[in-house]
Amino acid sequence: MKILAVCGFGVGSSLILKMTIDKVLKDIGKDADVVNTDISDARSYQADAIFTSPDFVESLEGSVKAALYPVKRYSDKEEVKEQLLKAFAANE
Amino acid sequence: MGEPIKHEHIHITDSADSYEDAITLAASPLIKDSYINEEYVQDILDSIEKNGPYIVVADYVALPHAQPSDKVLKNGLSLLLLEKPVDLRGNPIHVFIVLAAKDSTAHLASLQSLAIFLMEKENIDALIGAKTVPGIQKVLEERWQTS
Repeated sequence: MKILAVCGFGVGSSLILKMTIDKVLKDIGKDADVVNTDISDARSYQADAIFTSPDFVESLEGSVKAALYPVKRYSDKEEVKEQLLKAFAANE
Repeated sequence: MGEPIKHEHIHITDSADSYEDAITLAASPLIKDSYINEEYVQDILDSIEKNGPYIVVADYVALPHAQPSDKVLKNGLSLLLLEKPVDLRGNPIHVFIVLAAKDSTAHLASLQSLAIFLMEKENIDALIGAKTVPGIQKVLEERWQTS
């Protein structure tokens, strides 16, 4: 599975989100390819799942094919885990 | 051996009137030492206005930053601890960590360490519980893993 971690500028928050996703993947023993980027580049990427803030979900809806998984707290492992499990369930 | 965040870039204060004031105060050491200019702080505030409070990366912790640009002269971090939290669009915030990054790959190593630090709630509790600048530094140094 290919996952995009998206924030406004692709510089700070999305990297934090990517690190959290990578950590949770390790914890649950799953594999995925995780890339972080900004909201405008997100539209040109091929991905199976997009993890981003609820604020960005609205503006991405309709312009991306990938399923959107909102995460409020980018460093919250529990929240990320919940969404990751949903993403794996949808892609398996 | 570098400090995770320079001691002269760490401040503690009792409270702030608004998150705008808190971010301006949190960023002030970076302006003083010419890491960023004042326009970068305005960019941060505009971004919150436009993009919402996603810079709240953990409970009680915000990571104010804006787009890399020539308003950033040097890569760096500064930290403000508020003893009483201030509201950021419905989120109570104790800790503001301002990120100054010249480009999207700059500063990767310290951001990765910061991400790992913020994933553990007990690290955030320890940070909020620190009463002094040396106390904050001790928490960071003990719990900041460099990879």
